Amino acid sequence: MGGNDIIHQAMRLRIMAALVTLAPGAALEFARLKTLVEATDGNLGAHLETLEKAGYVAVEKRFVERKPQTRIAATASGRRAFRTHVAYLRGILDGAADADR
Amino acid sequence: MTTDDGAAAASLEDIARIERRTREALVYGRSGAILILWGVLTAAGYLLEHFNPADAGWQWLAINSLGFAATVLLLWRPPLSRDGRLRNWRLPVALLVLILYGLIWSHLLWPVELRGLSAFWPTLFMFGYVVAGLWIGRFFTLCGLAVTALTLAAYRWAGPWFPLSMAAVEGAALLAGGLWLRSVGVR
Repeated sequence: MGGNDIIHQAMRLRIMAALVTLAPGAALEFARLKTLVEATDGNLGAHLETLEKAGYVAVEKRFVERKPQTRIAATASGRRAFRTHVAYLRGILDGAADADR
Repeated sequence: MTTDDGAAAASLEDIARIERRTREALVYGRSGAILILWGVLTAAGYLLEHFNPADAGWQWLAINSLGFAATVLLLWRPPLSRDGRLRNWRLPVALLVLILYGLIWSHLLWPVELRGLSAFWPTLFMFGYVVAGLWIGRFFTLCGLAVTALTLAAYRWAGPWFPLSMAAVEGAALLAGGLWLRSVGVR
């Protein structure tokens, strides 16, 4: 089992960790996600684009009280990919622990 | 892609940190409405106690029952987090245990002066906040300690204005805390 090149990048890993913590279908506002993952607007926007192209997140733009609002949710395939990548990372640590014994 | 064990450990730590922050933001966002509710209810309760002290017991029973029912409803909204932590039976049960504890001691110590009882109840709930804060976010610990200190100060120094000062201080503290939680949390 290999790691996921898209999710492995540090900021994208944080974004997926935050989104996957939500219940399936629940979304985070762009500003809130930015605070949680400690990103800048540009940085977050660029990484979200990469994740959206991979089909791992869904980005919804809408107007709330005449103000634009961007909401982001993890897709089912994004959740699966994140879980698989976390298992891969845990496998590396388990392998290192076995080698030390 | 190759990853060494040091990088894997760092990534897993980062994931755990972000998950913790996200859960805290979810708890904060959902708890804001509950704090606002109790801010309004306690302010109303102390105002009623000040202007109609003879029926304070029944008034507080009605207000606490209303608050408990509304809190359960607010907690029972669809969960925002994967593990549905807020839609958890333990929170209403913990609230019920605190209420029962308070009722038992209020009964055993009866007759007790109304002023002492009015100071005891908020500090009992704030004790719950202080303990819960150790798990769900330090805001609750700080809020519990602050309201307890304000309650004790009002009990000691507010004289006949105790219920009114509690309506202002505790009501305002819970309202302000609730509004702040809504601003920083995820709803």
